[in-house]
Amino acid sequence: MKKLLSLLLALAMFAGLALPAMAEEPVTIEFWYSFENQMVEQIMTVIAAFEEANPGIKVKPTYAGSYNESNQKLLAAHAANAVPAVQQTVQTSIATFAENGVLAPIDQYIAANNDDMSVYAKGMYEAYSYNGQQYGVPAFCSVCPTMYYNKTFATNEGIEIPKTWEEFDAFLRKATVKDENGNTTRYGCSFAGWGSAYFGPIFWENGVEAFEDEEMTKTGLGSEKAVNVIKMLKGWVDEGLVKWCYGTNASTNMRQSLIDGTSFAVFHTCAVYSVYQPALANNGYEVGVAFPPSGEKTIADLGGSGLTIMAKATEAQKEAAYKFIRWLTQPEGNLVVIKATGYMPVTTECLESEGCKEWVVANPELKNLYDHMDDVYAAPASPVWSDIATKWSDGLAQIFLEGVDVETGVENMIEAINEILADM
Amino acid sequence: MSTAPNTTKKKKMSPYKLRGRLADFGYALPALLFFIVFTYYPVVELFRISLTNWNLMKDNYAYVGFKNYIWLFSSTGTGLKRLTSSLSVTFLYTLGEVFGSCVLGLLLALLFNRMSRSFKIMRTLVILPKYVTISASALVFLWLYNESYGVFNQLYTALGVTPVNWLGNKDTALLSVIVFSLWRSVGYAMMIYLSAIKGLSQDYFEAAALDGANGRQIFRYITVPLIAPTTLFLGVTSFLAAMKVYQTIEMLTAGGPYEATNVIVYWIYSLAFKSYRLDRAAAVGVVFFLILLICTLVTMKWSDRKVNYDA
Repeated sequence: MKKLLSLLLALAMFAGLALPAMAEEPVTIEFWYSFENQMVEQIMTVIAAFEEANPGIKVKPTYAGSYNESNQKLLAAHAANAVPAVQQTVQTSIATFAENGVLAPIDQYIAANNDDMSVYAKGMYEAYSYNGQQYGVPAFCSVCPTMYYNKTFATNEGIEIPKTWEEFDAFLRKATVKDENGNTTRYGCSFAGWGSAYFGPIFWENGVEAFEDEEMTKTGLGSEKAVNVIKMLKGWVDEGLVKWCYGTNASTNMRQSLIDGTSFAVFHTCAVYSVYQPALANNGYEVGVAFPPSGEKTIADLGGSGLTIMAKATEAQKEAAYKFIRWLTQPEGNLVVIKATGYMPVTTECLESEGCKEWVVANPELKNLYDHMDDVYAAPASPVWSDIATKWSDGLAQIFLEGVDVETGVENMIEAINEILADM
Repeated sequence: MSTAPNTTKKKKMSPYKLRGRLADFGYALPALLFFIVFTYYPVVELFRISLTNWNLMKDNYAYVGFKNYIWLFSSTGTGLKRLTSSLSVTFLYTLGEVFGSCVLGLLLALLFNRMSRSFKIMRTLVILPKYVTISASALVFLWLYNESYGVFNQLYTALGVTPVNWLGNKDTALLSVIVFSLWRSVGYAMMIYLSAIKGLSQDYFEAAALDGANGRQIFRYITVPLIAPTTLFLGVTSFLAAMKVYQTIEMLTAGGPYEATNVIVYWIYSLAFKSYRLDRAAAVGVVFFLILLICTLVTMKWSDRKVNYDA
């Protein structure tokens, strides 16, 4: 009995000594990111500041490749129960990952910290929610499409940037230049036909709905309004006013066409402002930036990514991860992202910060986007949206570039989309 | 009645021989284990996954029998349509690469079948692309093929021909991919043919020449049959490699435009990691495995009868 008592006493003493030591053990959270070199160094500074402010948390940043590569690795890590605590997650993956239990909802942490999430831009914040639960916060957000134009041409030739799609036709006719044989030497505008986030808003603004029902089982992309938009675009492409960019190298070629002056304007993402601005300046041009023209609605798609927490992380890691994702989206972290690329402020706190105001003074064109911070919304949260978007993009390219007539092209496209929906 | 001695009775293996056998097995064991873990087990697992509804994400999944195979072969869904389309693209690509590399490789081997210094340098230049990584060389070809700024279209424009969107047009995309693959593989085929030609006994050629055969007849009736085993080897290995093409497609076209280059391995990848349908991807993988197995067996069977190994 004495032996047992002394053993218990020894164990209790050991536990008493060990527990405080264990409590002091820092929580390590792995952070998988996909951003490129242009902001790695600055983000690491923000992370270092976070660790200093939270001595109990260690962050292990790991480059996980592009969004696609990062997602592939995440699926393997999830299956192997070896997930990072935080991933930079592309917005279009949220619905699928949330539905399948890859991501952890963060509502309990918001409530526990009594955080005011209304500081986030509404559309951007909602893009990271699914079925009434919040699965992350917006962080690296872009306006798609952003209209970049050659401001030097606009000033010299007295061309007004259109505010509505009704004005767009007249704008294209002024901005397009043709040679004596009628061949286009400068397109009024180049459209990014490879990605639905770039051309989708033209349809949404003109009253088209991606789905006709709430269950997202029937597409609205073949509606009368959609056909009208397609006809409008085809007319411009056929007249040589618009270049529809599609296929391999399309992004590079479109970007280069604005830089070398063979396009007056392009529709791209605001995340490449840091590419266009110096490249045009290098050619003696000034870059102009505008929110896409309005139709029945004023709306743009949300591009980019946010920060999410993995469901299979430990509870301690999740709590630490929540603090971390909040830290990265506070003005200091958000400004690093904005200045390195052209991404949007994600909170009103950032927009109203001195740093952001100074940035806008130095880059006044960006105010045209920041004024529309609440007009940016996510793509439909359908698990098969990526497949549908591919068929949509292929279908439009066949109509605009391969000579398929509008009726046949739309019919084929809708048949393919309906097959995907029926196959879910 | 006397009984005949049992001549078929197995002789007991001596301990020495048994130890030897066990040692041999021990030497082969690491390689065998490697194959079991990294080849045979994944094949079995692939089949198992194809019978489930697993998407890599859910911890709980159910066995759904042959549902994924029914999807794949049912004429009402997207499965069969995409399978036939993808297989057509894969076979077209394979045909182009295997036929192209064998024919061009043989022609180059005949051309470079000399030992002069300049020919050695040229041979090296021809085989060099094989050892440049696909990603690096594909980046170069992306620029060569570029619609607006590429070398090919600059040449076309200089000649007054309308530029072509090589990788963005459904009629030229697959051809452009095949040309890139041939640029990489033809040097290897040339070297294999060259070593085969150099290994042929000169007696055949001397005898044919004495019989009055001309160069074309010697090539047709002596060289080609004697190097048939090499052609078979190249054909089978290039066929298997070409059928499994993935990286070239990923780098150059990502399966587009309009799925014109959506080869089967790229489709499997897209199903698993873009559409998150690992179950369906596994079913397509199993079917593709069987197709490759059948093709290989048929080729081997055919070669036993048609190919002359005597040389």
